Amino acid sequence: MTRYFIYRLLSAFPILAVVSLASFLFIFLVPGDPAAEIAGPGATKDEVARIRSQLGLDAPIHAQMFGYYRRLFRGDLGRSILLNRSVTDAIIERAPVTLSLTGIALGISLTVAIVLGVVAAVRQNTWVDQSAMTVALLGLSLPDFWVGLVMIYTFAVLLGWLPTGGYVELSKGIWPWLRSMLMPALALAITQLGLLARMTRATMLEVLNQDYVRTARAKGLPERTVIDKHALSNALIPMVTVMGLIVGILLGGAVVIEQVFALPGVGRLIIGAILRRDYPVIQGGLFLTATIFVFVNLAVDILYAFLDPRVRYVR
Amino acid sequence: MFDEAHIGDSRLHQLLERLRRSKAARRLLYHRLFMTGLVLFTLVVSMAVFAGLLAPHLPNQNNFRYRLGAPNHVFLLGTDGFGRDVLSRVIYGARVSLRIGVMVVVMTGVFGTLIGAVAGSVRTLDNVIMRVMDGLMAFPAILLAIALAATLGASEINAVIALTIAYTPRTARIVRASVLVVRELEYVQAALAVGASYLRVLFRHILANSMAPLIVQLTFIFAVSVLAEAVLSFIGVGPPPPTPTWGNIIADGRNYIREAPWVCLIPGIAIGVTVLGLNLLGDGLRDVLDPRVKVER
Repeated sequence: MTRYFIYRLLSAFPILAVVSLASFLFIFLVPGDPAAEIAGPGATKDEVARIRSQLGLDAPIHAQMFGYYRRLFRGDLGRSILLNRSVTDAIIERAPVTLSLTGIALGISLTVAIVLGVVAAVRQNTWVDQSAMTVALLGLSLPDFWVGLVMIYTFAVLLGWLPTGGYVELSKGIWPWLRSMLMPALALAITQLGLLARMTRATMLEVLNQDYVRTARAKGLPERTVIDKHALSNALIPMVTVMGLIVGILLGGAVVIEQVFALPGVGRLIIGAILRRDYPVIQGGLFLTATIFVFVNLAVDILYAFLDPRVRYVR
Repeated sequence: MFDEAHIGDSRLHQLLERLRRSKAARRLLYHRLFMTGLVLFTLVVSMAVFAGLLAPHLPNQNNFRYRLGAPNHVFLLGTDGFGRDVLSRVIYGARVSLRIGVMVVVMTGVFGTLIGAVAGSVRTLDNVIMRVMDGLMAFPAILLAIALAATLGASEINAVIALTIAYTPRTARIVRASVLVVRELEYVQAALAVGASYLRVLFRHILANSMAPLIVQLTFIFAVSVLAEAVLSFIGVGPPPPTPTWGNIIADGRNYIREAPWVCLIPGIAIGVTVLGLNLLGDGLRDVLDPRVKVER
């Protein structure tokens, strides 16, 4: 286990190197002069020069890169040009919103997807299976931001049950917080749900054909026990591996959903920066989301090796 | 003499391949969900192709007297904030979505095949190439695409470039994985043993037999591109307004969601139908082409 752990930990470094390098090089994709872009069409030469030095773009590229990595190792992602503050602080300040959103969405999609997947597998090829999988397929096919807008129209505009958007902090009470999170989290969950439900169904079907399930049935256990204890708990292990993937999709989806529901999260910060060409925030935001993704996957792999000892020996 | 044997083998191989293909085609024909997907997708394609004939109005024709009009007999699905016909805009929007989807599929297919073939064939480059792909895949694809599209400048071609960069690592991975499997197969080793050059074997045998998983993946990439294009337009980094894209129409309709919900609603359904069709096509192709998953239906 220790060997596997160390191996897996080391293998994350080259990926992080690529992630950080890609984030650094991002600014060089800007056609023309990034400083002039930021300053806008009416800017004087001095203003452009000031922004250029603020971005560090007046130094030679190797010096820029050296400075970038030196700051990165200290956890400094640079300074936002528009907000005139540290990118790290700006992101940390908005993190609770994004974490609430993705956390609740993950909870909802996992619960619903496992129920749908298990029911579909147990009642394979019946109308129950078909309707559960139709729901899953629709979830995969509808754009999440549009689902959000339809929800806003239905539950906020027509029925007036929920607010159209905005965020209420958890410190103001659980119920108001949940009310502000319900629609965005549901809209985000629906798109993840499809993938997860189909995975659950497939692994459940595989497990239900195993010898130990037949043995459990043969020795006269009630079907419920067979499904819950013998089949489901084994089917959930491979599901752990998709969790890493799902977190990636959730982080991407949150960016768009925060925009729809006017949630002041990290995604909204990054989109704002993208639209207003605040490159340090874009670079920092990209780097951080990708780094989170790498570490979540690292954790997932280690957890998987812990749950399924066979993995530790496969190299 | 060896050469003859090789030719004979490849002819036999071609024959068998054709038989296998036709069997696959027959199986697809009886795959209910695949056929449903085919019907839905054909519907959208004909909408795009015959947009000029089907659309009752011009997509960018303003009729300020009929702003935010509810569906009626002149404007079947209502009008938007400029009095433009929503139905006509949605019909023309199919063109943009499908055009972007096709271009992304072609480009991710070509680049993915090239990168995957090199990684799968050249041991020394494999690790470097795949770590770069892993690194790119660590960025949430949609976020990477938004950032790239905005930085390059909002336009249709830049949207295609952004989506291609975001999704090529996925195709490259798939091609590499198949190349690694196929190159060890006996007929490939035999072709190499009789002296065929590696490049020839790569293109004629290895890549030709690695296509099935790639085709399945590309169908799903098509679906994801249609969704992603809508997001790019919605955020404002896709083809700029007044181009009738489904995302643009929704973004515009969002401002009048109280007075004119149909502006938002209709393009979303169009996206849903297109993506659903493509997902069904992809599922069907995977069931038939991919021998690893024998899904019981």
